[in-house]
Amino acid sequence: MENILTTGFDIWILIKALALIILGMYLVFAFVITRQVKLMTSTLRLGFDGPAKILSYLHLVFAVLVFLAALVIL
Amino acid sequence: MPDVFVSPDRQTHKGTPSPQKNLTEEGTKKLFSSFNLYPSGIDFETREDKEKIILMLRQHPVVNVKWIFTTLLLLTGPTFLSIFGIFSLLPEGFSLVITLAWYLVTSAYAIEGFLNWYFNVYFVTTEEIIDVDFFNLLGKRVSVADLDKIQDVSYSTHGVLGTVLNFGDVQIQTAAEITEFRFESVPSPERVAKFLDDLIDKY
Repeated sequence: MENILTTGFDIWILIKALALIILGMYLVFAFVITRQVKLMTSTLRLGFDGPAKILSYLHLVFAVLVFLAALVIL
Repeated sequence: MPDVFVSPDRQTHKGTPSPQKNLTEEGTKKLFSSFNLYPSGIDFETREDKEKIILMLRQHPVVNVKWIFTTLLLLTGPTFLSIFGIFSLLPEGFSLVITLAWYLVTSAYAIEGFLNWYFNVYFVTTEEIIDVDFFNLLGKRVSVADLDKIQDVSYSTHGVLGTVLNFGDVQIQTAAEITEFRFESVPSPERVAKFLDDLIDKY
C-alpha cells in the first residue's frame, strides 16, 4: 500500500490552506474594525467621522486583496 | 512697598475668566487637540439640547509614541526578512503574500492605536462630566456624573515626562453611582482641576 505521506503530498498545499484560513479569519477581524468605527462615530461626533470610516473600509479592502492574492499566487 | 503675597481669592477676582462669562465665546475646532475649550462641531449621543460642551479632553499626544514607534519598527520587518534570506527559503509567491500580510497587520495595529487615543475622550458640560471608553473592539462604556454630585477634585503628575510635558491624571470624587472618575494623562491637569472647581461653584 502506498504511503500517502511520502508520495504526491505537497506540504505547501497544506500551508496554503492554513494561510487562507488565517486570512479568512482576518477578514472577519477587518469587518469588525469597520463595525467598531461605526460604533465610535455614532457615539461621538468629533469631526473625524468620515476619514475614520474611510480608513476602516480601506483596511477591509486591503484585507480582501491580500486574501485574493494568497488565493491566486500561493 | 510691593506686595509680598497676594491672597489667591483676590487674584481670582482680578484675572481669571469665569466659565459663565466664557459661555458666549465662539468655540474652537481642533481635530486632534487633547485640550479643547468650548469646542464647536463636537457632539455625543446622550447630549441634551440645552446642554453645552465646555471642555473636551483626551490623553496627551505623547501616549501615542509607543504605538507609533512600534509601527515604524514593524514596517521594517519585511526588509529584515529579505536581508536574512528568509524569503529565499520559500517558494515563489510566498514572500509577496507574507509581505502584504505583514503590512496588513501593521496597518491594523496603527489604526487601532489611533482610534483608541482619538475616541477615548472626556467631556465637561454645563450639566455633567462624561467619560467615554471604548474597549475590546466592540465594547463601550459611558460614565456620567452630574456637576452637583462632584465632591472633590484633585490632580497628579508623574515622572519626568509628565512634569516636563505637563500632563497627568485628574481624580474626581462624586456622590453618583460611579464614585470616582479619573481623567488619565490629560494635558494641564491643574488647569482642568481648577476649571472643574470653578464650575462646581457656579453650577
